[in-house]
Amino acid sequence: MIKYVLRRILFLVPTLLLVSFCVYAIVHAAPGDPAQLALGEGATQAAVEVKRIELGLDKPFIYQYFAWLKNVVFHFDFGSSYRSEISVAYQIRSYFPNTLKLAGLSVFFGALIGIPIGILASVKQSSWFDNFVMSIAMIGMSVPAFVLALVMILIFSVKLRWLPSSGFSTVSEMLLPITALGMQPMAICARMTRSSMLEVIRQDYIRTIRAKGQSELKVIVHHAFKNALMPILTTIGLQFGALIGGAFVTETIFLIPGLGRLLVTAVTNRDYPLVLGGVVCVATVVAITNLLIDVAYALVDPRVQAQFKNAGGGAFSWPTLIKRQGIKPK
Amino acid sequence: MESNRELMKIKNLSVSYKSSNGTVHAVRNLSLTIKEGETFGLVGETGAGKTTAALSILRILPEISTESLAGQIIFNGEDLLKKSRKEMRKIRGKDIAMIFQDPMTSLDPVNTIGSQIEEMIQLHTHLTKKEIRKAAEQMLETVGIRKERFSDYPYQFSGGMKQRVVIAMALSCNPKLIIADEPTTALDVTIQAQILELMRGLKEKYKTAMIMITHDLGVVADICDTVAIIYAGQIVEYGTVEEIFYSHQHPYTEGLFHSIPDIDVAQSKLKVIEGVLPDPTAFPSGCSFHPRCPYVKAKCSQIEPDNRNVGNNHFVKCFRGTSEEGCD
Amino acid sequence: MADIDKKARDKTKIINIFGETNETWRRLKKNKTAVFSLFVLIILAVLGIFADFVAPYSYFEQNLHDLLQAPSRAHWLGTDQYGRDILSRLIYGTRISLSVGLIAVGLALFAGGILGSVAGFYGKRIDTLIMRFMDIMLSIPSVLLALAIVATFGTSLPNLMLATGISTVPGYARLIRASILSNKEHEYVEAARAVGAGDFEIITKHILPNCLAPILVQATFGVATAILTVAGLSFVGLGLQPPIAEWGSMLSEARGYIRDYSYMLISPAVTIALTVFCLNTLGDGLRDALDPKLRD
Repeated sequence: MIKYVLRRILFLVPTLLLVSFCVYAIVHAAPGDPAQLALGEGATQAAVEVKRIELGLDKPFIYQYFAWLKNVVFHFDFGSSYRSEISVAYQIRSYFPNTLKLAGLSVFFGALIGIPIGILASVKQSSWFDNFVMSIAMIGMSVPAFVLALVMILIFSVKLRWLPSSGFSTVSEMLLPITALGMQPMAICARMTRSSMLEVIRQDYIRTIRAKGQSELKVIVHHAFKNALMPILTTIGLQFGALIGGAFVTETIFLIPGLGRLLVTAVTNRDYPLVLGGVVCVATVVAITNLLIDVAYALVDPRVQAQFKNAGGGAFSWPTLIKRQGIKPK
Repeated sequence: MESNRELMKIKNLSVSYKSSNGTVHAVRNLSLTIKEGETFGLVGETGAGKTTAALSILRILPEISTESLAGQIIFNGEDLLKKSRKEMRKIRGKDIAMIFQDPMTSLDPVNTIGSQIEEMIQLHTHLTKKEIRKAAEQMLETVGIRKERFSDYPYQFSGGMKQRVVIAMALSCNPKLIIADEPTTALDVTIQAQILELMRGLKEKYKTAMIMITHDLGVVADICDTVAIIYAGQIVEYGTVEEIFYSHQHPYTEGLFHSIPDIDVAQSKLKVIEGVLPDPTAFPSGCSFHPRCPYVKAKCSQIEPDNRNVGNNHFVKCFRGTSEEGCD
Repeated sequence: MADIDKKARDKTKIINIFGETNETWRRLKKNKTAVFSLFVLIILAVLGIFADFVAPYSYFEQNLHDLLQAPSRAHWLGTDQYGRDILSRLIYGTRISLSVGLIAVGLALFAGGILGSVAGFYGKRIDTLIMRFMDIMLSIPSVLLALAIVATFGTSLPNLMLATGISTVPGYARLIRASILSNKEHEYVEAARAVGAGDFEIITKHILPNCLAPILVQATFGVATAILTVAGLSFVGLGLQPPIAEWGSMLSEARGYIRDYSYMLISPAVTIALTVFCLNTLGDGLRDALDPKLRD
């Protein structure tokens, strides 16, 4: 098991290298001169030239990339922003935790409410409760977070004046963003839980357990749910990953100092070091999330655990495999 | 050795399912009696209604699709169909246990086999944790599995071993009746023999009555005392093993026996029973078998035959051989 | 002789597909929500296509006398801060969103189809190579990738289509590859080879038609995702630039006027939600209708 985890962490390295290289290439190919942008409109041509040399932009692209890489690997130095010259690492350190908190809490509450609803809907299949809840979930899945956020601000901040419309430090400030962002995870969790439970409940072994005389409650919660857990965990992991990357709109709306917003600005300003640093961070977090989900799999399902123990488990995570199959909540 | 006391009496059991094509009458007016310690064979093709009848005894029919359940199942003097859910839960596993057909999917994949046996014991007894564990281990040994494998998971066992675990589970609380739904169908022939041997031994040791559901007449010959032939949701012939094997009367039973290839006779074609099972949403009028019966007469399509007693506790649901205008 | 044979074969194939389509359609019809969604989407599509004729006003013409008018008979959904009619802007926005969505999905499908087919059909090393690359693509959060592309190459319409589509390529590649892998060994492929069919023909005529169903489902969801991505990007200013009427940018503009002119927010919000909802529901319904396992 440890071997598997280590191997996965090892596989992270080439992935991150490739990701960072791709992003670097993309942003680098952009029109727009970072030196110019850093100095502002009024800078003279000479000043821009000096700045370019200072930032190392005159060197070939590959050289620039490896220079950056060297700094990261050996000094943990992600460089500094072109314009503000603030250390990238510092900026990320200040902003990233907010995004993590936002995404984490949103998914957490989404799952907390969505999963029990899904279980109930599966048990009462085709009842009014089931149909009603699944329709609501479908709506929840369809309304984009930023639309919901705006509507909620309209209702709760502007009209009712109950909650603030920006910031992220107090509980009341966090309430709206988390609700807006958490609606989609909640809906998807509910649907995925329901469909996974339905598949499990149909299985023979559930019938065996009932034939033993076990109470329906235990059958559902203890046996069925445990078996249904894997796709649900995957969904949660994927949702978290998606939110980390995609929260920038919500952050913009609520003026939350998060990594998403930071990245948008960085990309607009062609601030290469910041873009790279940010993307690498996000990719790392997503990869670690996937790894954690896989470990959770092994804890739940003994067959998976056996696969991991034999070092032939391969280096691909279950979320990747499942993402590849395109499992969507029904 | 069977005592003569009645253990369970099913009276006019009828079960129907909902389907997109209409109501499926899976079991129609089925009646049978099982004595203590008796091994009762229930023989029929797939879709004849055997499993449905079995599931109705334990009342674990799929709730969503079941439309109606009527009749009486008298067990220990009480009608099981009238019992509350809570009471049924006490009976399941303790008085009546069930072994299902496919061992590969009968066990919970995420729990150890030991814990699954323990669960059964824990549900119906008041033993301490230690005692439960010991009892579970003992059951494993009884079915021929080393108790060291207590903490292994189902995926680590072969089909035959899994079925042994299921049998251990079923017997762990010493039930009075075991319903075995085609327990060996999904296994190799050699394993089949082992499992049957095991079941026979356990049956004698624990004096359990058993309903053996199967489509394999060989299994019936091996282990059953009494046999009922089920067709289209009804019992068409019923009697002791000797009676059914040597003096069967119903044309369907005759067809079943004739379709078994004789190893001593050179045969170029297998004998079959012409036709197919009737559509369970629209049964033929009169005798359900009449469209396929080689002895069919006019009366057969008009009136449903009663259960005739042809002696030696042998019942047949057919007009053949009666003095009424009918079949020869 | 061979001519007649071919005609007969083709006709049978058409009847088969037709028969299947009929069957699918019949099943889909049972799902009232899905049918309703399809209906709504068709209406939206028609509105979008004939926007020039349907919209009462132009989408960029400013009318400084009628700024910030609440919904009235003249302007059913009101006007925005430049006096532009919101209803008209929404209708033009429909054209944009739907076309971006469809083209983005189409491109992704095309690219993913080629990659998946090659990977699945020729297997071994090229398969590993392509799939590893797909996995790398999967580990970049899709929105970030879109962001990077748009910020890099500009916010023109083609770029947006590329940006929104590119992150879904691995999904389609995977799907097609799986279908090819499972069908590759079937006997009819051998039979086709025996009569001299080339690789390309086998892939396009024999194997691909079999995976039409899941592709259709995923494509439907894909359009929904693309619409959301474009709206999100436009919202933060990295999408279509004004004065192009796009739902996301309309929402962004409405933000500043949320206090007193909330109607500016509601109409694009409802439109986006409704469109995405209908697409999701339709996709769901299609999936249920096309999957025989899920019946009853």
